[in-house]
Amino acid sequence: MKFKIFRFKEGMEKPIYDKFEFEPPTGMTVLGALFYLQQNFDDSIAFHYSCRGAVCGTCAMLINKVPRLACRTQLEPLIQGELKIPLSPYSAIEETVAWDPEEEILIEPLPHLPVKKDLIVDMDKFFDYYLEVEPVLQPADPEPALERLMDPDAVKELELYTNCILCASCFGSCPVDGAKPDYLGPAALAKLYRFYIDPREGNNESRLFLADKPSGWWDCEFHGNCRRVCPKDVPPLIGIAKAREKLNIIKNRKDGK
Amino acid sequence: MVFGRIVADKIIEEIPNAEKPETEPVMGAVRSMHNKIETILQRDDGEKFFSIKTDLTVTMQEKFGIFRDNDTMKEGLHEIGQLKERFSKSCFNNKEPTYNHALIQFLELEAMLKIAEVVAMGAIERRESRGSHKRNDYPDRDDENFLKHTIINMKDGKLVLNYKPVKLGMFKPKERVY
Ligand code: SF4
Ligand code: FES
Repeated sequence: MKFKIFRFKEGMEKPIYDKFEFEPPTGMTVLGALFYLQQNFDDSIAFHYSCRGAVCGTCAMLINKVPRLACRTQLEPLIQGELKIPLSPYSAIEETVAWDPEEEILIEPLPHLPVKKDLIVDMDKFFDYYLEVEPVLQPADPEPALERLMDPDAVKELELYTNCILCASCFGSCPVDGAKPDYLGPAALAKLYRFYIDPREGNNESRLFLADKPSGWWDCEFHGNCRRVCPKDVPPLIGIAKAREKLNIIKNRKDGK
Repeated sequence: MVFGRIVADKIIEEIPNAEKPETEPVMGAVRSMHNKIETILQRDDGEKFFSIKTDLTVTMQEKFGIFRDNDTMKEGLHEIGQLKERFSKSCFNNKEPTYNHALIQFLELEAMLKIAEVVAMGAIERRESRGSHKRNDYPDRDDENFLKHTIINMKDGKLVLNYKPVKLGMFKPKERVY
């Protein structure tokens, strides 16, 4: 199997692509392949990972032009073309380098974030936007003696969003984030929506107004890439659509319509 | 590491008239780590350490699995010694000052070799079976001799085996049978 890997480090004018070839054992993941390459060909390849089991969200990268978790993506189905995800186009997933999808696995850093080295991107911006939505529970009532009970049905919707592991795959897949750098992006907005619907939350409505600006709810163009690439099936675009709908209702009510 | 530091700073801040601790021991440790890394990065020839890591995995898997006995474990301990020897002369190519994953893995392997030896020493001396430490040569649990914690200290660069009594709570310990 052939591999084409994005290489960049400080001081380089532009990235280069390194090529490698080896026969991976059955079941090897992209992360496994990176370790293999590091140990057997070039120990300077830089990438981030932690849990190796699709839990921590550290290893997201652009694999065959789709943002994915390296530890959750197996090589065999990838090369056989079984893992294709059709995405709404944006510049980073256009042809930036010659690549034969039937022969080679192409591994590049996550788009829309500055590259620090090879496959490592600077996540600061992603987490700045995350902090902007105040991602902590703000209950109104005092702490109950035992616990805050919730209706299981409400929890079902909540869980769709709490499953997020902050991998930024959606951020790297969103054409709007590419075009408008100050757009908060799918993950942060999904998180904000999650607090809006949380029955234990005290400020539900004012939560919505936190992103009532173009770079918040209103810049989303519903490409839907976020939902397609999310390794945890979080549907940011549904949260965004519902938030907009609610905001419109609230505003109309205020206008006395 | 991150939270430890925040907590420590906070404690010092909160305690009235607390004396600021000496920073020199910490800075000294940082300097010696820096020097150590410099020396490691200068090493150019020798075995690449990745193969030693693979071999350590095999040794630990085969000689220190759940079912163990004196002879296999002694062999295993001997192998760990040889791996340590190989490790001391090993190296890697990556000389980069940032995101040097090879360096991290190298330092990790150094620690893993120590831990492997600790596991081996404790297991060999524990001549009984207890939980997942299942010795074919001592199939029974022996509370009389081994109801105690194994403690291994580092003394002058060497590992030394000790024991510490177990603090028993409300319940009298007894063998678990399934
Ligand atoms: S919503 Fe999905 S893709 Fe986006 S950061 Fe969370 S887990 Fe990753
Ligand atoms: S290494 Fe944790 S998600 Fe891939």
